[in-house]
Amino acid sequence: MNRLFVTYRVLALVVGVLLLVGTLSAVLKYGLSEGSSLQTLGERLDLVWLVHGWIYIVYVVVAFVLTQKARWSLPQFGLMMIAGLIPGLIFWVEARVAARLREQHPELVRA
Amino acid sequence: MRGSTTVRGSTTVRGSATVRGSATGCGSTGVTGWTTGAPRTLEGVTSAFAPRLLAAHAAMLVSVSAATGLGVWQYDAYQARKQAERIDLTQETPRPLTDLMGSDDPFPGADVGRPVDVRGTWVPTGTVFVSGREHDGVDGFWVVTPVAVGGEGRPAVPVVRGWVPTVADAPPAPSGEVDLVGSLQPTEGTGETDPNPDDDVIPQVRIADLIQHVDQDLYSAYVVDDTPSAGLVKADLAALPDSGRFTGLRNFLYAIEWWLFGLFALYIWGRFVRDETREPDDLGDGTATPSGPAPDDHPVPSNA
Repeated sequence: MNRLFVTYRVLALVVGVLLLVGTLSAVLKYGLSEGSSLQTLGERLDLVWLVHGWIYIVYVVVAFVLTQKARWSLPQFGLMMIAGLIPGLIFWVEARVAARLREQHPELVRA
Repeated sequence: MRGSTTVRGSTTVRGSATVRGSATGCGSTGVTGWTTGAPRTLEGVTSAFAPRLLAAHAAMLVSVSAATGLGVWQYDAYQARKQAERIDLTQETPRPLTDLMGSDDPFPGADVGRPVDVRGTWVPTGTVFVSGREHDGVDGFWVVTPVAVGGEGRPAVPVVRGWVPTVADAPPAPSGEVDLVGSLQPTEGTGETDPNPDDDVIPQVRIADLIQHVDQDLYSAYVVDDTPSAGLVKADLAALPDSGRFTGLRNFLYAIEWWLFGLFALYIWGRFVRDETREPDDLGDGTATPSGPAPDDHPVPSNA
């Protein structure tokens, strides 16, 4: 498998999972009454936002390089970028990107 | 006008913007820019000010200012949070020192900078000067006199009574009963040795040095007096509470993230505009190449 393609997929997965954990932490933190153990857990989990932010930067750069290589339009890149910010969306976008790449640029999928 | 000859069917421009006699292509390409330098063709070249690029410019301006603004906001939050946490603890209601720690207890780390109420008796004979203490950029000394907490002979806590520029400026040590409010600080100890153990000047507020000057046990803390007596300036706190350092750091990292995004948006925009305005490499294959000019197709200056 192509290294760039694999990097993109792994980063998309990590960003997607972190985003879900972050959303869960926000729900626990703000949705539950102050001081309960689950609410405290939510507050602790808050940390993933920091990790998400930094990995997201790497994800965006890799996604950009990938769209450049595939000669995709800027809106396509925009979709990949936004996918890292809306919980759950990235899994669908990643599958779509993989399918499109296999179809249009098999050379970018295989090594 | 040498530059106005037609080459390969397209109009060359030099010095001033000119348009072809036939109107094709004029509307979409525009004639802004390209007025200097080597002869250039207008065909297929998009001006950096073309309407369809305006959206890209606007998007760039919006995202760069948003990212910069959000970064500044996070940076301010980082500053404010650090400040707030410090003030929070140092402005708490004073608590009796004996409630927070006993004379044999280790320093309570969560109480750095907390105001404490110290009642006891001055131990004037234990007065020392701590060297190398700055106040407003001036090097000077802290004047430290222990207070026997709870009465004479009992374990004592060193109290920084204030700051003086020279040892000779220090007022005489007080004696008798005292009830003071000050900030609780952990004792220092970086291993710096007292170069002259026989005098009353020590390099640090360290128990091992202070113990030489008193006859009783010492608390593993010292107190900076909030209201120094006449002739003394309130000493600056050496150790401020750092409970908020991590939370502050998070905001700081967010700020950097936002600024990085701003830079990235700028880069994407630059690339996009460059790609859009670049001249086609091969004029021959573009659709913009005209079928060929009529012999009488002379260029006309645009202002004619």
